[in-house]
Amino acid sequence: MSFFENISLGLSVALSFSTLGYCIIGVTVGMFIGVLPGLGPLATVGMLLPLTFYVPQTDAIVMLAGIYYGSMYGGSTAAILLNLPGTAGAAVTCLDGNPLAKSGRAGVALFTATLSSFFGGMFGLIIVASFTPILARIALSFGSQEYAALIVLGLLSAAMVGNASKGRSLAMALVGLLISMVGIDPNSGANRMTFGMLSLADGLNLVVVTTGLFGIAEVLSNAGRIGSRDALSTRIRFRDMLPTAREARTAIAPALRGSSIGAVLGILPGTGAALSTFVAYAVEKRVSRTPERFGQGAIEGVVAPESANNSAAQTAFVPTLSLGIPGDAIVAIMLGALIIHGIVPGPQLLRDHPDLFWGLVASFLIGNVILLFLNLPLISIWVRILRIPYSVLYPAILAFICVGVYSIRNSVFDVVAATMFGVVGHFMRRLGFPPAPLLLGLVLGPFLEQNFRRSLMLSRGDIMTFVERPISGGIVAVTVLVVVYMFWSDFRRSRRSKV
Amino acid sequence: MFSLARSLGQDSVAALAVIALGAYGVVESLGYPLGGLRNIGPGAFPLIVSVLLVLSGALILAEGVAALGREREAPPDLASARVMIFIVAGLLAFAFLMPRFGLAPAIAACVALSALADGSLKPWQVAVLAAAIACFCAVVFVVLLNLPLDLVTW
Repeated sequence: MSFFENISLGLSVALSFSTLGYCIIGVTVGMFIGVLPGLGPLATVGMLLPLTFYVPQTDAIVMLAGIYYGSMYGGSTAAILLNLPGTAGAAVTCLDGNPLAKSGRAGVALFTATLSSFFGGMFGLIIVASFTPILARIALSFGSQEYAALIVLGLLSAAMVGNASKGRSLAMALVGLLISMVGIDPNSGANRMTFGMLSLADGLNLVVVTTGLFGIAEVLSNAGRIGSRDALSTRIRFRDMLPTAREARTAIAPALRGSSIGAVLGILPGTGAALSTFVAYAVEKRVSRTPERFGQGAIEGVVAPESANNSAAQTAFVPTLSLGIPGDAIVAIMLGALIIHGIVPGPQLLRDHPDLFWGLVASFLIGNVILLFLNLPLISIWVRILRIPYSVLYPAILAFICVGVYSIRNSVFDVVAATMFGVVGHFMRRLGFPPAPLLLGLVLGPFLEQNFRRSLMLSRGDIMTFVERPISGGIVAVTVLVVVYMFWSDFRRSRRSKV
Repeated sequence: MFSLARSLGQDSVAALAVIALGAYGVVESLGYPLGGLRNIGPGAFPLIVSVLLVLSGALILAEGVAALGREREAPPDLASARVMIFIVAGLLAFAFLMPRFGLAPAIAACVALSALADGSLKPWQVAVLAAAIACFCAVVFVVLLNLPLDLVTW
């Protein structure tokens, strides 16, 4: 099929009445939870996942994806106005966005953040539409050895690249793998780690773990802490939003750099939007001729991270839809949603369900345009939403979590299990464990075990099969390089700080 | 000096927890057939993961020792006992009431109990909030989305 046929197929799907409706719902919910500090896209997607069981598969993915990139738009609003990141991906935007707001230029900061988000989103969208089919074609020749190696690379890069301690991230990914093995082993029928409980025979549901570790644990950390907020009460007029011509010119290069950084980190399995903002900001500061302006309200400090996180939120779908390996933890949940709908993620997805892929791509386009108009003209409404006190919000979050978890299979056990994951997750955070790698391990665990077993069966028990095949050997080599480089740079840093 | 001691203490607690979980995994997976390399059994993969988990626990400890004397970002504080008790109670109340009395009372109880964790709302505000969220959930989940949940049962 030609490119235009694909695009028209996508648009015909995305513009159908129900899909368009779910796209609008998705981006609006995403914007809403993005604006509100204390409720992130991970918890929301996990919470709403059970509801999508009753929705056609394409609509379900379009809506969940809309929540993800919509939250990237919304996250900057609270960051700029309150110096409080609405989502983890907006933490960097506080650094220069809030000083801009304090100097009376909140409108300019919001306008720039929205346009940068849109630019990054479009950039990522083009990458998704052009790279996914190519990658999928290459991946069609992959065997189980390549998949096993790729999954290991994804898990390790999730654990190694990032700010958290490597040992802790690694441990979390492994705990995720271990949890994924709870239940009946599909190969042998053995009941593994079920403690004799029938409710565990089907394994621990992804929704139960996600809503517990992210939703409930976040509420436990925030309840009673986030007080009432006094958002800027000044009305922001459209006239005050336009940046000066010089600012507009200086924003172009950072937008391109930020989008590119976001695209690369988005595609890399395991690393996502939040990380890309830190990298993009650091790069801007390094290339700038006036780095001392950063932190004082430099427009580049808003442009780069905002375009990076939106670009990454789109390109995270590239490995997900071409290889079946999620680009980050949020997309991992969407992968779970696809599996629940009976779609096997992998290179054959594009061949078997072109309507789903191109429909999703077209919905990105439509969703980003909707967000542009949702953002700028309606900014006063979002500012008002910022004033919803957390004490009213979190009981509602808990109620939604309860309904979502219970509705999966009308099980009281699942609600209690989610509560337990919430409490454990809260203590884990206190000990500095990052929860995102656990989720990746949980989603990828069954695939890893299956492909690992199959590889060994095909090679008649020869463990060298993983390095002897050229592609799989190449992936293993990259994995080793990533691990060595990360430990080496850590070692160098600790040496330098001691001297 | 006090904060240094505490951060190493935190690393040891984290490492010990990971090592204990890994050790448990080793014991548990040895209870299943391991199989051979040609056809690995249900115990083999959990065993590999558990052994790696023990090793990552050691890595956490090593990192903790290496990072001694360096400033680190403090992890978030633990929730107060009040927050912990009322939020867990709210969730468990839902689990208890839902199959017995239906969705509306279960949600109302969950909201009312968990709202007490914060303590900034007056009793009548809590009551209004509980009723409002219960109505909202009833409309959205049962009427609009048609989830197979009973609103009120005896």
